[in-house]
Amino acid sequence: MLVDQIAMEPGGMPVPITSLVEFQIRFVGQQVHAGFPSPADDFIETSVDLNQVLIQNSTATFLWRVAGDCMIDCKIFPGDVVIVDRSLVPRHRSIVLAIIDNAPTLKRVKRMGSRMVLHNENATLPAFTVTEGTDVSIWGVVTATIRDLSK
Amino acid sequence: MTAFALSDGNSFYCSCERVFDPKLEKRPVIVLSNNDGCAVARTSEAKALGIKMGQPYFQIKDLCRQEGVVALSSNYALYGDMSRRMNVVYNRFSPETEVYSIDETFLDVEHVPRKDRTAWASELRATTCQWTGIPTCVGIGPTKTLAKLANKAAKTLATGVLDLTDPDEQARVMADFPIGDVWGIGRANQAKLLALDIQFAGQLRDMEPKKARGIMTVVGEKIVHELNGRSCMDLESVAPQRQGCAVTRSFGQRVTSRIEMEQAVAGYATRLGEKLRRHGLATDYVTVFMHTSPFNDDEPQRNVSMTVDIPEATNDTMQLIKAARRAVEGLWKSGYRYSKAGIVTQDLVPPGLAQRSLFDGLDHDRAAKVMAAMDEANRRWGRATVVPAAVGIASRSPFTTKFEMRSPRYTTRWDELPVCR
Repeated sequence: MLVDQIAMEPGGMPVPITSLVEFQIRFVGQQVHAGFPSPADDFIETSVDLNQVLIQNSTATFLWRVAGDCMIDCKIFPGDVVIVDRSLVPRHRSIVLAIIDNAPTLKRVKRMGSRMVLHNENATLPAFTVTEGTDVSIWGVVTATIRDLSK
Repeated sequence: MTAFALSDGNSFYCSCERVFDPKLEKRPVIVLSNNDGCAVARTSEAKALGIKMGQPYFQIKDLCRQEGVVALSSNYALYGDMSRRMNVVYNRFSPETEVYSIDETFLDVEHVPRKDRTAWASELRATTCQWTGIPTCVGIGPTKTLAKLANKAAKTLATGVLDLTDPDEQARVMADFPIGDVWGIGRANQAKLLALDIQFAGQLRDMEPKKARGIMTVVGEKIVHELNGRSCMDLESVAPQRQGCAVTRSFGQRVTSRIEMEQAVAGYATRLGEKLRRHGLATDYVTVFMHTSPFNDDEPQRNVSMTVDIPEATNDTMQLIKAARRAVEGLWKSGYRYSKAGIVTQDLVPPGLAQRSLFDGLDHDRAAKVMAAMDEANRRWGRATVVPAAVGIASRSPFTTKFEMRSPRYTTRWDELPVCR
């Protein structure tokens, strides 16, 4: 299968998460049916699988579409898809999907002494501050982004 | 000694919705059945407003508006995916599990030392919630019936976990556990037991098994044994072979023309074929039924069914549609406003075991290839991407299930992913 057939299937076709980032590289040796044996046959390994680099724990991994621009300085732009792993514990400098007053939003976690604080990554926006009474929870940790460069 | 755990998602469908829409947190939420007929899942906030399980939506529409209840259509693509994820988590905690329903799973806990079981269950619960966002309760007991009972009792505990391995603990909980809430006691049996002044699980536990058999057949006897800690039901880690299969649905709007009815029934036959192929089974007859709404008693009423034999057992959609259309042909009568139709089969067999008919003109291999291609296309690009022409054009059909208030299919569609700022 050609790589461009699989990436970001257009038109919003349903793609289960387990199959969305898998592509196979066919080795020539597999398709030779006659003639002398391919010298590559002895070296065939399992195919490269994008799941291996993008998703560590597929059970706990979900995709979200980005609509805002609060993280553009770390190259997360509106329209991107972020891969979010709920099983990871946020650490210093993790990018997280936070639920702030019931609104899902991306933020950078930073440790300030004993406290963890959340930051926007957009120099043109005012600093993000959590005020008294703000309801904050961490939904998951962002591990990667997917961007369609053809659009 | 055997030991089972039962884990189930709290207000499961509503919880699935809350994972992706934080605005639903702390608000009363209900999820409606097919065609937005009645409430099939309720959050605790919705229960507190007096909304009952199975209550018709039209009865509570005003209440929902006044109280700000969020009513959602069923989103089975989402619930199915979340259920699958929960079960993957469960499999890390137990070598053997039995998926009992979309939100309930039995787990084998014999491998966990008795003293560690509460901690094990808490860990199971915490991990499920962390990974999937779904809150659960876990009950543990030496029998499935006691695990189920423990699960029910755990719902009222802040910890969400209850281990009923210990007989003294069992006795304490069963003393005031309502008989109607015991697993396997239906409404009819509940009435019989209450008539004998058997109100609580503890009283049923102390009943002579023979007497229970007299009241509730062999099922009653099993329940008494299970309440006494003697396990009568094993873990069925492989789902038992399906005996029967049905596809039935209420129409979004009343059906009054024969062509609509034929298309609707062809659609159900198509779905039946998918189900049979998924389970590797076949059938050699279909029963089609259709009826008007019993709630509109000022209208002429009709309730009919017909069984059509198929020459040999098959799961080929085209054959099923052919048989189903013959049934509609035989049953159809104009002048009625039909509210529901369905297709039912029993005695399913694996296709290989089916008896070949003497003068069979079916091309099995060709049919199997066509069906496999159709299933693959529908699996890949969504249900009903490819349908037999007999089903009609879905978007214009009155029998298309209504999902007017359905949330996005957050986990299975690229164009419906949840959105963050």
